[in-house]
Amino acid sequence: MATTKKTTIDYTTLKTELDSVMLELQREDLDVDAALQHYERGLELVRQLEQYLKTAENRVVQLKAKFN
Amino acid sequence: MLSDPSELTVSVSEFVALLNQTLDFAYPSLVITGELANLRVSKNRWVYFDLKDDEASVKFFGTIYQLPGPLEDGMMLKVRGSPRLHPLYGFSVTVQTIQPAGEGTIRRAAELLQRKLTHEGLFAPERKRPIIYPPRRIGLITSNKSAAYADFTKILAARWGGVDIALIDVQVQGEPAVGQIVGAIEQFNAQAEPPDVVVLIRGGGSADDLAAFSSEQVTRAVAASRVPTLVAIGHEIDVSLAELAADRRASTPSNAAELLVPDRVAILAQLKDYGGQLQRDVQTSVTRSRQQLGQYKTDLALQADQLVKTEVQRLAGQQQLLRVLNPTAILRRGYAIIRVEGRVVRRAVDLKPGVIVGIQLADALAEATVSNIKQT
Repeated sequence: MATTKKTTIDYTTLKTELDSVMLELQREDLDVDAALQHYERGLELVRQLEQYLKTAENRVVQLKAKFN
Repeated sequence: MLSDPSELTVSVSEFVALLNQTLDFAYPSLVITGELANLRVSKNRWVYFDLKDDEASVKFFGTIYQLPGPLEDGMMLKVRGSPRLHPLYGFSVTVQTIQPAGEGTIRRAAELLQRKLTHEGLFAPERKRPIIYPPRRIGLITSNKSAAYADFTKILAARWGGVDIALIDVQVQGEPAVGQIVGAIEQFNAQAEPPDVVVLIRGGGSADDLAAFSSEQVTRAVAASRVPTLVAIGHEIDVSLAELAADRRASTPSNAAELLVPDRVAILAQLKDYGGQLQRDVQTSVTRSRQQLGQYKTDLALQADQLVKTEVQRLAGQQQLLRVLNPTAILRRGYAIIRVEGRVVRRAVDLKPGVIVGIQLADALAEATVSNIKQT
């Protein structure tokens, strides 16, 4: 249970961070260097979230198999 | 004692005494049947009437407590009494008991009594009390030699066990019946632990045989009983007044037993039925729950799938936006980033003629020297 909760918080945290990174990137007065940093961070966040969702998908499949 | 009565000379008082003595010896008590005439009640206590037939008429004297109920002239009565010569008022029969005689009279007497007691409210439905079901102790009033007694106890035992029957054996017809039945009802009521129900039964019979059950005394005793009552007289045509006054009536003594206790065979069958029903109910409930659970499982899996799918789509959208916002993508479209000592140049003040600037293109880095600055 605790593990699940922690994972949930992690996912939400990552998602929130990605949202703010996207907002930052769309600011007009954004410095190119800052933009590059944000872009890099954004890519990293997307990677982590993708991984998480892949794991989640697998778990759903596993759990379904277990209960059928 | 004088040998020749014809020589006897006595005073009037002596004559009355002598005659009464003789009557007392010869007829201490006898029953006289005849038609009622000249009935009158004095001071709400004394009753005077004549009984007559085609050829004779005799005077009677009694109290209202001996009346079986309301009477009217023309009724046939069976009166038990002792003949007496009163010193002042002449000959009369002193009444001991009065019974209606003959079917017509009995019915008429019962009608009159029924009207009177109905008016008093003795038969009112709201007086009826419930009888404990099944009773633990029954106070039974009947003749222990009767078929009614045999039927009642047999049916009772066959249907239900463990009921305690206390019997008071009474005559259910004839002169003593009324007194004995009333006494039995009072006796059960006076007990320290009275029975749960008083049951008064007898088999069928002629109107004459059943007269006691329509008498005012028995009817009142049944109505007055503190213990709930059940009366069953095995006859079909008329209902006796005692039955009307009882909390419950039954058509026969066997029927009385059926009303008092449940049939254990039927109860067992019913219990078995309940058991089966219970089992079926539980089975149905389990099956329904299982189906519901299956639906939940399907829904849950669908929801989990949907959730993940939504998130994946959202993320794909963000990924695409991110690609658009990639600052280096703009370089491929012909833009360049100019730096002086690593810092990005945004305005003219950052530049001077002769300064070396770094130029970042999409696929190369180059250096150049500023030769001229013209503000736009």
